[in-house]
Amino acid sequence: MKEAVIKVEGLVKFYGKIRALAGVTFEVEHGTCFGYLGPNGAGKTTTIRILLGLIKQDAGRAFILGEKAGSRKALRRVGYLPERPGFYDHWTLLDYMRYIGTLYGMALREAKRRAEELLEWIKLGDWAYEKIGNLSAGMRQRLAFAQAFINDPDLLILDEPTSNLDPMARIEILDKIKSAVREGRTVLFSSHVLPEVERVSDHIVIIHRGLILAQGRIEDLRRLPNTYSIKTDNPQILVNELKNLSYVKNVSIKDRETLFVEVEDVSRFEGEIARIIAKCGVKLKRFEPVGESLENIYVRIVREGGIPVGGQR
Amino acid sequence: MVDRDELKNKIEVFGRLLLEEMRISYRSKRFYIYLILFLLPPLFMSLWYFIFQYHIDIQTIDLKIFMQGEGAKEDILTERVNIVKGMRGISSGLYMSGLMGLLIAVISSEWVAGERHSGMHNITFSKFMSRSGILLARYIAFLIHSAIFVTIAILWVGVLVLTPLINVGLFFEAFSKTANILLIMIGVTILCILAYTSLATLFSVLSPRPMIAIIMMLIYTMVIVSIVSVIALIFGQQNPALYNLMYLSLSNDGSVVMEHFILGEEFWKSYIIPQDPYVALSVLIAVSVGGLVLACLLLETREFS
Repeated sequence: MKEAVIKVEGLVKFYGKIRALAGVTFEVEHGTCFGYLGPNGAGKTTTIRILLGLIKQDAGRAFILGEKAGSRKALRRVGYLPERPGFYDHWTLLDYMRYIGTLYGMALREAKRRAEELLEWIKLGDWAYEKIGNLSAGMRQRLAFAQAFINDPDLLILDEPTSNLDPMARIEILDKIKSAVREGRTVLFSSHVLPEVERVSDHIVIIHRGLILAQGRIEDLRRLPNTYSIKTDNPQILVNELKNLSYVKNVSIKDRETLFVEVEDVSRFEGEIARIIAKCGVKLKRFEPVGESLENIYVRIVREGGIPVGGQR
Repeated sequence: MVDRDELKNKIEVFGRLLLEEMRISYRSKRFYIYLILFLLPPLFMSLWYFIFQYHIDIQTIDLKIFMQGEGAKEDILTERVNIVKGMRGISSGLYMSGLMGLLIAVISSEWVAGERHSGMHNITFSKFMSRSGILLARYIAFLIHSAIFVTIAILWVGVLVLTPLINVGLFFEAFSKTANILLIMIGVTILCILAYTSLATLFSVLSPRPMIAIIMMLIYTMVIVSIVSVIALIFGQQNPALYNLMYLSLSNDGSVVMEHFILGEEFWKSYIIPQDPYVALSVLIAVSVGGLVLACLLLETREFS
């Protein structure tokens, strides 16, 4: 088990009578990109704000990089891109980056050097002395993304980092997130754009109405629906045989060689499938669990209400 | 026990932020409006003085010396010192007025309320530097600029009044006699600006939008100050303690303090309300420190969603 960069235990938060978080518990391991998924109002931003000390939890504990969440010591090593980053339109891009550098205690020269470096990195180098008010929404988002790196952080907390970006810029930002993970940084990626999360994250948490519905490796969560793909030279014979089994829920033929089987008892099915294939006398070409898309996992878990992890409904 | 190196490091980090805050303020139009408000009146006064009044003053001084000989110099000096004393009206009327309080509110409303409104606080308040540290850096940067502007404006007008004495070789003597008056004017004006800024900062912390912070300052300067002044005037005769309500009127107290120190013990008694200048001075200091401390405490303990 790697060191936990973020550790959240039973976080509860109320806004008046509305419960925003109902006992949220999860851990983010070092050097991973952790997708934090949920619909609008699920509690993603509330969790992030607690981690950054912008708001206080009503119950539970949260730690960042081994320090109490929101402590200055921890925040020195954190880069944060908020969902709604603010700007001063009359500042230049360089002013903005430099200023944020000084908020981390950087020396003025060092802050300027790093700001120029990052503006080049995000392809805004030519705009360094332009006013922020002249930037498009996408350019602002890229600037906000770049500021999260000014202190060379160990942990990046990115709240909807690709909003307002065109497709090319999205890909660029996602690639930069991936390279940040390769460099050894840990990323908490909060989003509801699932293909993007799938592209960069290895672990996810799904939160809904303040409850964690599922968490783990994406690969592990994909197996949850108990669906298998079987490629054979004669699927029809196999379909007829599988339909008679009590623990098989659904069988469908995809094409001339492939069929899908949805089962209720995974271990029984996996134990008996070799015998069934041999009995039918068909040639097995491929047998694998179906790679359910993250979107399907998400919709299924949210619709079903999922199995709350570390909380109560 | 605070570690010495840690303290040194904290001061260094704060110093950098302070310098950056000062540098970044030059990007704001509001900063230049503030600067103009300080420097334009002395500039106009200079123009007016050199076009219409300077030659008359020179002729009057020459005529006095011609008529009365060297003995006139003492009169001329006293007259000029009195003119410098009369300048207190500029400080109390312009730089210590409710209008200045409103302009300060417009500027300082951006410090917290403006950032909350734009979402910038999500970035600034989630960094290594503490929220109160950021606010303090902004406050001090603003105060340093204000102190420079006040000093320039008041010294400028002071020197302007004394310029006709250059020809008769009395300028430096007159300047040394009026230097303490000018210093008092500068000091009290800065103190008053400090108190206004402190209150405006507190309103900025309390408001979710900059406009609300400005309205709060407007209510303070226009409504609350007027109401308490009326209460003090009406009921103060029966209950002298109620006179103290007048001290909540910052500009009024500032000018009373100035009057007292510049014109001597007797003058302030001629005011309708017998205010105590030392209490007024204490109130100015208390508002300056108290408002800021409260703003910092609120900033550290409040939630900013």
